[in-house]
Amino acid sequence: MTECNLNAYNKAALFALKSKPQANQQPAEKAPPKTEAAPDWSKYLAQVAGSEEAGSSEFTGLPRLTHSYASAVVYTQAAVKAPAFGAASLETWKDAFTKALQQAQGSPNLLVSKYYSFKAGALRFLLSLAGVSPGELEALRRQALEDLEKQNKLLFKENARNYVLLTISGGKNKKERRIMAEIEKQLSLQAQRLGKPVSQLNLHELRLEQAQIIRENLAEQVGNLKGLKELCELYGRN
Amino acid sequence: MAEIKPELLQEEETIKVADLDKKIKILDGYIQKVDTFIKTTGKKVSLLKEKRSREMILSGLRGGI
Repeated sequence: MTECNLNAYNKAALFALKSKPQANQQPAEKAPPKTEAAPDWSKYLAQVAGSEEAGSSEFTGLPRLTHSYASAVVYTQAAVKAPAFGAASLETWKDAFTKALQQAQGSPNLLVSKYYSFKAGALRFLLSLAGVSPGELEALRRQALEDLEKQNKLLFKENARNYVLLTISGGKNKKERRIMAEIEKQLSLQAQRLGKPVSQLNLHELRLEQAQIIRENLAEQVGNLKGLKELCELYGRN
Repeated sequence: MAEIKPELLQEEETIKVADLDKKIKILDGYIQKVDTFIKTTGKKVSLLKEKRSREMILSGLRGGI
């Protein structure tokens, strides 16, 4: 498609002139019906040669080629055509691309992170080769990172909730505490990589929020049990 | 298919007030623990906020000087 300019027309014209059959020979195939009289190409050949020597690439007065002469241009178009991939393979590649991006950003292990960043790059190249536009790839990347950020926040909340529950249930097991600290460390690293680091203040605020939620739930349960107890006492069931 | 014994159904339906009292006491204990946790964490949060605001003011003053 990109070859369809004046230069392409000129190249096609030269090609057609060189491969023009002799006057006494019959053409191998039947020529398509012409809409206008064939131009005198020898005149334009001399002009093309002269302008090439002069170093200019623009020619004037060239007649417009009919479709019978433009077969060379069509051949160029077929050569640069992107390979056809199925819709299913494209979708799997897109999924793999988003997963690789998430792993590259989210994994606390440096080697794993590097491996997935390489994989994401390779998949990006494949997707662009398959005809996915850069805008769509950027949208996929943004969506993947947003999902990872949401997941990170959710895990932080869950971890804070577990911390509060462990504290109020008298968990003095050092192993459990160590595991919680490790999870917190990994989540902090992930948040830092995502460009939204979590400070100690944020962590304490999250714990406070979760503690308040737990307190509300416990108070609700106590209220329910008290109501049940009153009913039992009222009806004398013992 | 095994039939459900009527005794078991009866057992499920009976609610003892003593058990309810016990449960309420346990939950009250947990609520008290959560309250103390909220109090200590609240103190920590207020201290950290104070520290942060102090740092912000100091850095602003340094920049001004």
